[in-house]
Amino acid sequence: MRYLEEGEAGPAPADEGTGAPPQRASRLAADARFVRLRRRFAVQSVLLVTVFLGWYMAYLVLSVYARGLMAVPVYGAVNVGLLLGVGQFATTFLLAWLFVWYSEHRLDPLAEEIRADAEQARAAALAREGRVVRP
Amino acid sequence: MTSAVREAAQGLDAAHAWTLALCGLFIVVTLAITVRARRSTKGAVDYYAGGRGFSSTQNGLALTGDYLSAASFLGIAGLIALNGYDGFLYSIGFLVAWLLVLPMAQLMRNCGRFTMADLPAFRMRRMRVRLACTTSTVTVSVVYLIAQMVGAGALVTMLLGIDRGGTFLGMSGEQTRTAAIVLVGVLMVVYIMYGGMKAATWLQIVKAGLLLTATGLMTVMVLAVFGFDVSALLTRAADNSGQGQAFLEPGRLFGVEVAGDPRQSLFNKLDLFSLGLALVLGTAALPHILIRFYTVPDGRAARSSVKRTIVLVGVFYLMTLALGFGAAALVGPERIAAQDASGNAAVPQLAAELGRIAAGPVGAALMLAFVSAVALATILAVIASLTLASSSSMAHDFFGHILMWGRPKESQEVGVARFSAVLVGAVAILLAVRAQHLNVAFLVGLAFAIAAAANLPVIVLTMFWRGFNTKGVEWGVYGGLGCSLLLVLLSPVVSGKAHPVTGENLSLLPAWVDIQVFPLENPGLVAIPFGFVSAVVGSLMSGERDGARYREMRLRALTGLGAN
Repeated sequence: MRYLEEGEAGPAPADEGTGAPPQRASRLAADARFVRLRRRFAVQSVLLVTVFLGWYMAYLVLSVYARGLMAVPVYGAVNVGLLLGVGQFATTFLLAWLFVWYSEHRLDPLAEEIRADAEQARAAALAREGRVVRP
Repeated sequence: MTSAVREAAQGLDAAHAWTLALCGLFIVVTLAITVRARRSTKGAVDYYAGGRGFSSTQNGLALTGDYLSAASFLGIAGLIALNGYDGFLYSIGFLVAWLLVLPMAQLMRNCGRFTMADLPAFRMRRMRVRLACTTSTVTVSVVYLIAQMVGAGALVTMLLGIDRGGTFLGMSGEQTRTAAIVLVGVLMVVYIMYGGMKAATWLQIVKAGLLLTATGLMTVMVLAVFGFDVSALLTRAADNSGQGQAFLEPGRLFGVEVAGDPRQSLFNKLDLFSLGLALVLGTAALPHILIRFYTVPDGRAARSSVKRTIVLVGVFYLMTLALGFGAAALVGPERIAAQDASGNAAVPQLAAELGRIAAGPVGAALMLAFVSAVALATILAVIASLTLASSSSMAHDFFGHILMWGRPKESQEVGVARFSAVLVGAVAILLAVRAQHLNVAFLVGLAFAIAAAANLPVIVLTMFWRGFNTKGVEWGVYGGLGCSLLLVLLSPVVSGKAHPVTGENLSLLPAWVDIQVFPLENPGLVAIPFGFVSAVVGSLMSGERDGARYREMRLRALTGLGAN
């Protein structure tokens, strides 16, 4: 029965998903480190989405309602509109880089720690059971 | 016939021969890849997720290949060549959309296994959730498939130069177009049926490499012609366009001001927001993009593959600027519009022009052939991935979890997936052949709108809302899907749109049918909020809650604990 869904709700017996019974999942979920991880992820994601959606919508509004401004020449034939458009590319690269940097430096180590602890605890629990069963 | 014209015609014939040879080479190479992939595809993880062994660089390239369709390569450059600045608005929407994918990638990788339905099914009653997700996955994929395949037919006749009379191997333009649609359809089925995700991924990697090489080469050549002076390029493009500086300013294609009709002007502007919203919110929920996150080992690799994709896609769209303005400057809008009214021929024409500048008629033939072959490879790769997305969902979700109650034999399920690929392919070929004369450009925007209205609410609420449940999924998917389809049916693309000056019918249906009620061409602006609202209302109407599963999901999503 190895092919059963591993994380499915319902009667699937092979729930080796987190390897954690619900109690342990909820204990880990209340872990101060996990709360911190969750909060950091939420803040960075909300920030990212607000900034990029806001900036993109602002750009659309400008190109619809501020056509005079978009037409102002800056350098030769290059005008404000083209610069703002290329600016969207630049901010996209910048935001992506910032998001990934923050994730790698502030989220991944925390997540790694939580996972390592949980896996260790699970191994220990299995070993205890094993000792009870085997002899 | 003057000698110059005859010479040009011979040059074109050489280009066609080269195009066919290069396409043949591409097909042989990709079939070889498929055979190899078939040998190492043993179980479900191999077939659906390519064994989860691809690196983030490989997957980043493959995502780029998945995303950049012929609409991006030929369509956007053509829009820029004919409409200047406004074509650029499209590409910006296509790029910034990836910033929404960035935070989702890791979560989706950690919580799912093979399909989109795996996400909500992690915490909810399985079957009805999976049925809803299969419905929207298949709908989005087929809508997108038809757009791509009809495009393939038109492209082949255009590239062979027989779209306005003439024959190829004794076939008329009409027959060639049908043959091309059937041929690409059969090829995509073969790739997916035999090679599954491994073949699809390598196909995308090869195609992304070719596409980026071709655009890079052409960009450098365009800039070289103008001595790397961007302003000179833009000035020449603007002069050539016959529109002067207005060519470099917004308002020619989107949000057009209609003199003396403030109502229509407002609708035109709202339409731009509707399209923009659909592009930005739809990308994160396209089924063939979603299943790509399962091909890497873990959430972190999924995230860094998106980072690489953003760089590649961004660079590509910046280069389409050079191609579009370059085509306007070097080929000129009259010649582009004369060959294809929507500008799809701009890039091949520019390639021939650049080749001619660099190395005379031989160069022109070679460049035209190379770029045409790349365009065909682009279409072929994208439709293969779309077929895989729908056949995975039909086999894994519908067959595996609904018909077989979640207990199919692995070999059985993969067999069904292969069969589904044939089925989806056959349906898509039939529909595309039937639709080959219709103007289906709106279908790409529609596919994005459906993805954003039906899939995105489910993905986002599954991840972030404790109170979301089975009924919410159903209402969200069917509400968003139904709303998008209904609004398109009642929109100007289906009926009731005439050219303001010539009075020519611009809609899908004949001029005497007029059921247009909804004023926007893209349903996104209304359908996306509707999808979210109906998902929330549906959830609130049902008492089903499973806080423990939700907690477990959140834990797994962020830490990767227990992810497979």
